[in-house]
Amino acid sequence: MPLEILLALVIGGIAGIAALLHLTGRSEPRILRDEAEALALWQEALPTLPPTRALLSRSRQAALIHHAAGLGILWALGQDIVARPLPRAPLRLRETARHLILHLPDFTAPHIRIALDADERSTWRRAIEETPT
Amino acid sequence: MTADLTYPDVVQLAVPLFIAAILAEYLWIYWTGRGGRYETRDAVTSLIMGAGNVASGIALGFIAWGFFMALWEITPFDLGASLWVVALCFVLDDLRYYWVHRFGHRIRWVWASHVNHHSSQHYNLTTALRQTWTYTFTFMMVVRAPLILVGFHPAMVLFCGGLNLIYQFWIHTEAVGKMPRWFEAVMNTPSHHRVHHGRNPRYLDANYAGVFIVWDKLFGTFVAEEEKPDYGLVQNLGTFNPLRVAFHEWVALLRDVARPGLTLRQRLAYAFAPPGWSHDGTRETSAQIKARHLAAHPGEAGRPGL
Repeated sequence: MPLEILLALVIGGIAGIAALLHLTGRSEPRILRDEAEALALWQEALPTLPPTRALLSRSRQAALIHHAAGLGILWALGQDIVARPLPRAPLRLRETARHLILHLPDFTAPHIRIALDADERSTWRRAIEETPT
Repeated sequence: MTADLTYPDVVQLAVPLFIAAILAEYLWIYWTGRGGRYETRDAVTSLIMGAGNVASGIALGFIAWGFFMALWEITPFDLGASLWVVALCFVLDDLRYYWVHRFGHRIRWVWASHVNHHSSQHYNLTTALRQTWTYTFTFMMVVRAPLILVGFHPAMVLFCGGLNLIYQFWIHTEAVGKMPRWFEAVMNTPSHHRVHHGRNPRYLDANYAGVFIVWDKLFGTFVAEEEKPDYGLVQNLGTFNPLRVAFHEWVALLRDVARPGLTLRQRLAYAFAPPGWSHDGTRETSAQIKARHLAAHPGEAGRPGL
């Protein structure tokens, strides 16, 4: 197959499928039902770190998880959920007008951007910064 | 003689079919509300990984081709190009695929390339196209050497490999339940391959087949689908960035190998032991995950896969 036809097919195909999915509502993020669901999803993702408490964000797209060994974060990645224990080291945190951004030393999740209101940002920030290192 | 034998690049020719089938699968899911899930960024990442795989084949394919042609020069055998030879080549290349795929899950160096195929939490036809960009660096082309040395022309071997890949496209779907029993007994099917993509402890390291599921039954790695698979990796990725998807395990492997204070044996184990191996026991291999699961659920002892 001539390269130009292959390129047109691939680029057109990807763009077309992306547009179709987006326009039919497949870009909506996962919304967590409640704290219990956050705890269950954490347990499923990281069964060796049983959770004790979850602090669900108002957007219900993320939760700060307390577990026996410290803190962790669970967040919506598209329609799915990803969980990471937070490292026991000072974390670089950054705030924007509507988000708290956690910079992790993790090539597969380097920046976690959590939508939080101003009061939530300070609560989350305090919890993360007060975790012993 | 088959010195100038050529075959079409069937994977490139199948691209329109891939696009049409993805559209058909998605519209089926959209209208019926069953048969799987699609997510925009996940699907786009998978499609970009597929495009990158074709691009890496164009850019680096000469390495494997040069190796195969060098073998073809030295072998005294030439089985010709009759239809039965192509059929035999297809079956034997599928056996080759089984072992390369098994190595891909049991040797971290090869897993570093293959992991991205398992990195989606979705299971649909776009997942089939989430393919490696770094296969050449696994050097798994050596597993094809016996085929060429016994007299199958390199062009025929690659042609059969392309057909194998195309066959595997359609089995990446939740829209198909189970096929007729005779078909499930011999062929790899959506049901068998869903198990392979499951991160459930029981489903780890099962069903490596490409086309014929009989290899798994023969070599003891077959697990039938019972509970619904939970798709993805033991630790799922927190990014849709295709570059991170393509290279994350290579980066992790190199960081581990370069850790200070390790013995040479430990450095080699970080590169070539099963994924999850660690020198200090802080990670889990699939065998350890299964053992932990069994300890928590002793009633499941004896179930296939555990």
